[in-house]
Amino acid sequence: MNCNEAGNLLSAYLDGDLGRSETKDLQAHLGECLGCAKELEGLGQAKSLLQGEPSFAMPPNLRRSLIQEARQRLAFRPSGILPRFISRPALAVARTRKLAIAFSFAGVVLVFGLWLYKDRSGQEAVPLDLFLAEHTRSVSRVTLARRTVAAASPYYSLQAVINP
Amino acid sequence: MFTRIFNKEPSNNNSKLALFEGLLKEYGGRVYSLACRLTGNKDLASDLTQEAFLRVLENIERYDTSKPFENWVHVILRNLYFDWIKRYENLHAVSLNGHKEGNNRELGETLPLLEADPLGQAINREKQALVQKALKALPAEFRMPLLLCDTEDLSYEEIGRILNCPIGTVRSRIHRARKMLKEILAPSAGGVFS
Repeated sequence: MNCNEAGNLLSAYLDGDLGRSETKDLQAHLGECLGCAKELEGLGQAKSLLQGEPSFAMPPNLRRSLIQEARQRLAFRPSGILPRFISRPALAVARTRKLAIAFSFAGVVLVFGLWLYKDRSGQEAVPLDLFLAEHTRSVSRVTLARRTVAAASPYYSLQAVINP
Repeated sequence: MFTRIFNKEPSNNNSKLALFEGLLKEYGGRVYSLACRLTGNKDLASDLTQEAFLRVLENIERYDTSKPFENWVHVILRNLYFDWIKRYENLHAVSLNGHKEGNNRELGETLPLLEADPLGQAINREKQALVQKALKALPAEFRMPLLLCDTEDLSYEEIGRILNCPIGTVRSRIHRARKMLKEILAPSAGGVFS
C-alpha cells in the first residue's frame, strides 16, 4: 500500500468502517510511514473536536409552538378515512370559521331566493284553458288587422285590378 | 422505546399528540442541534426544525415503524436543508461553498457553555466559534455527512441511506470534509488542536 491509497482510507479507518484486510494493510503502512501516521493524528483531532462539541438545547418557545401547532392540526384531523387535505393548515381554526360564515351566508341567500321564487310563481299562475283562450283571441285579432291593412294598401288594389 | 409506541398504531388524535410530544422531547434537541451546525444560524435552525417536525406530524401514519426514527427525521431534515440551500443560492447567487455570513443570530454569539470557570468558558467559546466557522466554510454536500458521522454517530451505511448515495461516496465526502476541516483549523492549531 502506498501513501496515496493509505490517505484515502484514513477517515474510514478512524470511523471503523474498513474491512479486516484493508485495516491490516493500512496498519502495516502506518507502522512504516510517519507522514501518514501524522495525517491520521490530525484527522483524529478534527473528528474529536466535532464529537466534543456541545449540543444546542432546543428553545422552549420553539417546543411550545410546535406542540400548540400539533394540537391545532390534530383537532381538525379526523382519525381515519377522510381525505388528507382536511388535516392541512388550510383548515386551521381561523380559516374554518371564515368558511363556516361564508357557507351560512350562501345558505341564507339560497333559502331567501327560493322563498321569493315560490311566492311569485304562486301569485302569477294562470290556468291553461284561460291562457289558450287569450292566445287564440290575440292571434285572430292580429290576422284581421293584417287583412284590413292589406286591403287598404295601393299595392293590394293594383293586384286586384291586374288579377281580378 | 418509540418503536414500541409506534407499533401500537396510534388510532386517535390524542395518542398521536402524545407520540408527537414524546418524539419532540426525545429528538427535538438533537434535530435542532444538527440544524444549528448545518446552517450556522439559530433562527434558520429553528425554522428547519419546526418544518421538519411538522412534516413528521403530517406523515406520522405513514412512518415505517421498522426503521429508527432518527433516520427518518434526518431524511426530512436533509430535504429541507438542501431546499433551503437552493432557495438561498437563487436569492443570493452564491455557491454552495459555505454560507454567506448571515445577518441573523450567528451561532458564535450564543454557543452553549460547558465550563464553570470564566477562563474555561472563554476558551471553549472561542474554540467552538472556530469550529463553527470552519464548518460553515465546508461545502454543504460535505458538511452534512461529516456532521452525521461525527456528531450524530451514524454509520456510513446509515449516512448513505439518508443522503441517498453509495457508501463509497459517503466515505470520500467524509474524508475530504475532515481533511478540509483540519486544514482550515490548522492556522489556529495551537488553540484548537490541544
